[in-house]
Amino acid sequence: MTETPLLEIKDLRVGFRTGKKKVLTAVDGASLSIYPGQTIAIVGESGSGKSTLAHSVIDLLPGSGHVMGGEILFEGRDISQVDRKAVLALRGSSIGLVPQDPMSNLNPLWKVGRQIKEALVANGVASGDAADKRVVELLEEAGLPDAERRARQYPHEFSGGMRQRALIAMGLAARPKLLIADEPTSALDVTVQKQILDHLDQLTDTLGVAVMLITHDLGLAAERADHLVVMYRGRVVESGPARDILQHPEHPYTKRLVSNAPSLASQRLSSVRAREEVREQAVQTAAEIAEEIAHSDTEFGEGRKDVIVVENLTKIFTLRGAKPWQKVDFAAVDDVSFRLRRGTTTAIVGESGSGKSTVARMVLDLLPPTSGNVIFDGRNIRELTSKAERLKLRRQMQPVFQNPYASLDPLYSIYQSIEEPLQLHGVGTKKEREAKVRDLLDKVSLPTTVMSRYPGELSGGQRQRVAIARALALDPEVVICDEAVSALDVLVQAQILELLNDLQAELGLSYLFITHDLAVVRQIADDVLVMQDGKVVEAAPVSEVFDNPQKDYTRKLLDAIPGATIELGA
Amino acid sequence: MWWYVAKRLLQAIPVFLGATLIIFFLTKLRPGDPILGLIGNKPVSPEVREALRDQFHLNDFIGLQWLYFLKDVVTFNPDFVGLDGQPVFQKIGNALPVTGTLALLALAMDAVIGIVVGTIAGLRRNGWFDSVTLVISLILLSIPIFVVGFVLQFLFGVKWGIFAATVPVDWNVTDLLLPAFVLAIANIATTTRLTRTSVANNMSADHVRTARAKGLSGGVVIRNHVLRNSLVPVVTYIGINLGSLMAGAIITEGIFNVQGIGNLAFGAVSRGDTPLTVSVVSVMVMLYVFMSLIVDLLYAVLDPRIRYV
Repeated sequence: MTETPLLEIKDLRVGFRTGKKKVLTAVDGASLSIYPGQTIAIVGESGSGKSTLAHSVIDLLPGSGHVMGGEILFEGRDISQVDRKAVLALRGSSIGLVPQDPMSNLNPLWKVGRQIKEALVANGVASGDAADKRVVELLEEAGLPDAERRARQYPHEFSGGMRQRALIAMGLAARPKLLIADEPTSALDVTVQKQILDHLDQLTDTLGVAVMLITHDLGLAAERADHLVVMYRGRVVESGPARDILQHPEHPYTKRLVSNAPSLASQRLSSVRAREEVREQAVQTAAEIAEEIAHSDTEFGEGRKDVIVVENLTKIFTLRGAKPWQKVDFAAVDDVSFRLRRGTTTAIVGESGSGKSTVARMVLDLLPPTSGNVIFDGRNIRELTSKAERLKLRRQMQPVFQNPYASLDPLYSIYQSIEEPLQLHGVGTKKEREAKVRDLLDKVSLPTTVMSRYPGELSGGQRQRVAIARALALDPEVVICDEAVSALDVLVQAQILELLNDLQAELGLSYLFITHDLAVVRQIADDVLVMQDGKVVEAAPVSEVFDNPQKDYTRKLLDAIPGATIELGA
Repeated sequence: MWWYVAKRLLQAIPVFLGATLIIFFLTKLRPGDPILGLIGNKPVSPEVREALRDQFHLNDFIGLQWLYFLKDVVTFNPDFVGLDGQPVFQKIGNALPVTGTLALLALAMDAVIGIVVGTIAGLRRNGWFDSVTLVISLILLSIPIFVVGFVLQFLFGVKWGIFAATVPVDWNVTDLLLPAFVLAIANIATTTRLTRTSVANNMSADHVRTARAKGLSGGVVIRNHVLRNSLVPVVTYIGINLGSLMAGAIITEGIFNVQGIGNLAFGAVSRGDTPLTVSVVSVMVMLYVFMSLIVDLLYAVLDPRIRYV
């Protein structure tokens, strides 16, 4: 290309003041250029400085963030040096932003249409009735059906995907030359992600807008952008054409990304073989445990082969109707049946609202089913009446939840968090419990020094390890993982999946693994249950689902795995 | 929404019954002879005493006395009198305007000063204005109202003579400015802190950053996306205050000799005048219930996510 770049970042350094004289460098000597109409993707994990880099371009760094050195040339002019007014003139009109979290990025108190109109008025594109008309056109263009009515609604009346479409309409309202898309879909279901990104692609193509796409998912980046920039710890470690990087990664970090990201790993046959080995070992260990249980009177259960049998499970919620005295029945889970074999993993896959988490809560005996049975190792959990028996059931079945930031009590030290279930169930003496906690931390590969620390001091991946250690504290037979890796970065996802696999092989655990993302399923699951609107649409072994999906809906979920079509190097 | 309002108004009935019942019993537990209080501690003949006891149903079972009271209140009986023989409704009617004006003035001061100062402090969090406001509001919060009241009364009323030191019976609004300010002081401090925190939190909200990214200027962002969002919790607090302002008026009315509800309640309690005490407190309870309903409805106006059905 001989033309001048639209945006050229040269040796940019951005820092945050953390004390009187201390500065934390978030971006350290980053350089990149974007040509008009080009789409580039910046890939990196949380804390790699990719969002900071993007925000410094439109001077929206949070708190004490400031540019410490280098240049940001937009159409040849260094915009890191110009005054506030000049930056203000660029925002919206020349550089648009599509932010990360559609839930928090629209003002909840104003109608959606008005918020888009603001952008038109502020950038002098249109005003008055003309602006109102333009708003409807923009929403239609962003792929929102029934735009005229939607413009008059409030954000809380929109789904996540619809909100993101509104934010796209907003970012493109004044026809900027550059659009910064900061993880625009990481808060959404994979199927919605695909729709939105397809639409964004097409829209920016026709309008000739250059896009700076920021993402932690290499597969997604490679699928959407011609040019990749990989960031690691504030530095650009690798950049070049997407295909080259994927097939011949140079930097160790990029290599790890390519080999471990679930979206890419799910295509490999090696991950299938690895899973088979895990299962063989796990089933064997589990069979030994079952043998013991069968011959013991004190243990809960009978040592059956199917550790959990779910029969015709149904949950109906009664909602308020349009009139105050009316009631509407809503079937969140509708006639779901499946078996979880001892030592294996059954994955329940579906979009938000498909009822998969409700199934998990009913299996855990945290929510009474409207009808149907959950049978744990030969015992129907509905028929457990005494408190002691219920307590025994809880020992055998432990959950790991999605958000490791919310599922640990911030005021409990890691030791207290893991020890609490032992104490509750009156296991061992204080000394024995401490030894157990050390052993558990060792199992989840955390140093024992974290015992005295608090959740706020740990990273997301470390917290999820703590949550797993807590779940394993009571030596359960079944662990129910409700979106246990969905909130994590891709590499951390891969690590946690590996940990879960190792633990399964070692301890003979059975997993019920709930997720919206089929990409992670192949590395952990043996059987898959695809759910839609409360019903099971497909139930089959994992290889069947991937290689020979029977239902359109399953195919749609498979298509939504980013980067699935990209050929990889060895 | 009307369904919701109706439900809330219906809920007020058990609140009213419960409140009157509790207060009725509590005043009966108070030691001392109401008849003596009525006559003024003079010797009284047994016949007169019996006649008075009969007139006020004092010989009946206490639950029955409460029902008599209820009947008088619900039917707005103009002959319903307190132990001093004066009609209760008329007394309350006379006292309500001055206390209402006092409370509304205090509320207005609370809202205007609290929100303006709090917003400025919140926009420049940890700046000099914020720090000074923090110190002043902590001082105001920690000095009891009867100290501030007497000091301001002495300075403005006696020494400088800017305002009248006490409020005459034929009062006008200017006379109430000083008492209203005294009444509002503690609330102003809290409203300021609350507004400040709310504004500061909203300044770093994601949607505010998005608004900036749209190209809106700083002033527009604050006006459209920070202020209204910040006001939701503040409005709740201020609204609930009106109830506590009317109740809290007892001390302030005492200091400035305002012949309002607070003084009336104080007198009734000290005389052991059950009918008047219970009536006055019931009025306060109902005002409180009514104000919290208004606040809840205002909430829905400010925040479209809240809909009542």
